[in-house]
Amino acid sequence: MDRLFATEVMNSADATIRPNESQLSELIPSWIVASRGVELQLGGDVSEIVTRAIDLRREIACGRPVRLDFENQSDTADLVHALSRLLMDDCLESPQSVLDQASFAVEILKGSLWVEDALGEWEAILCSAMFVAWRAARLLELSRAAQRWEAEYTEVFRRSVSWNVVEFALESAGDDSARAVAEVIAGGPESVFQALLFLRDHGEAAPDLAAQIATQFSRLIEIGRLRLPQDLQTFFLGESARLAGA
Amino acid sequence: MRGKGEELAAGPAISAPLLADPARFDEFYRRYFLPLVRRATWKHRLAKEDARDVVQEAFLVALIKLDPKRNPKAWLIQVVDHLSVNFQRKVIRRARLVSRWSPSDAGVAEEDPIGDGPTICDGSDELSGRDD
Repeated sequence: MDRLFATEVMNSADATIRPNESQLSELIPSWIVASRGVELQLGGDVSEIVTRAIDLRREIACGRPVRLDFENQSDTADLVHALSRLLMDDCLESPQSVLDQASFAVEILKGSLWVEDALGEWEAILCSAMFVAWRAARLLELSRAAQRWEAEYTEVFRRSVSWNVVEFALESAGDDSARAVAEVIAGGPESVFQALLFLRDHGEAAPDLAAQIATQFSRLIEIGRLRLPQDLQTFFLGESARLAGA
Repeated sequence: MRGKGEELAAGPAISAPLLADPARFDEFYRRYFLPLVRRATWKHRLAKEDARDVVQEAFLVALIKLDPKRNPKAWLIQVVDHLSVNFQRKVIRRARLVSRWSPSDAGVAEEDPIGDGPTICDGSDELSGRDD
């Protein structure tokens, strides 16, 4: 598929990203050589970060003032990623506290200043926190809140690099949609959510292809290609069926 | 972040910008390498060392296939996602084979890495404020 899904209007994220892109491709060969044999630090230990994220959840739940050190951006990024994962893992069991804590995380992230963010990590983490909040709101049957979170998510997602990532991921769909869709599904529930939002937006520009891909999503979700919790399975099936029939 | 006493291998002329300038090396490390490692770690649940290998492999793939005219950042992220998923598939496949052939060692979960499965360090039970 050659640019069937090409985004016609350059969004604000594109405008800021473009100038550095040639630099990235020029520097990759140099990085491969220069990093050879170098012991690259990888940030904090995962289990230690998860433990800190658990502590952070506890502080948020207790209503204590929480401050994240965005001066040490790498460390804080790890911590917020871990927090988002914990909230997602706990969503079914404790949706109300997850909703409260995810909302809090979203506010912290919105108010934070990420000095260096060439790959749009801030938007990706913000989206993950919003996705958790959206799911928790749905589980609590707070339909207006869920709609609000979905709208907020869509707004951030549309102007993020993730939008283009989905575009790339679905590019091969014209040739082999089942394979492309399976790849997206393997990325997890949020990847499926993003792909369906993407297809929703592109349903008018390329309706046949969008319907074809949505059908594949529906089929693969139905046969259990992604082991999903019931709430997400129901939503994704409904949404993909709606897009397939649109 | 370079290891002490590490010697950098001599490379072609194009490597000069990063080889010759530690500040630029650090900048690339912070701007591109580390965020991609974090993505592979947290989104795809890879160990950090595995995430590092996946990201380095993505850079190698980029060497051959990256089209600078077509949003290289999004492309690179997508390659990291793809390689991470493949890596997880291999891990699961290997774990299944191990548990099939040596049932006594079957401590390896066949858990799908995606979804609400167990996490590496799920201490969430300690959390207060359960809803039910």
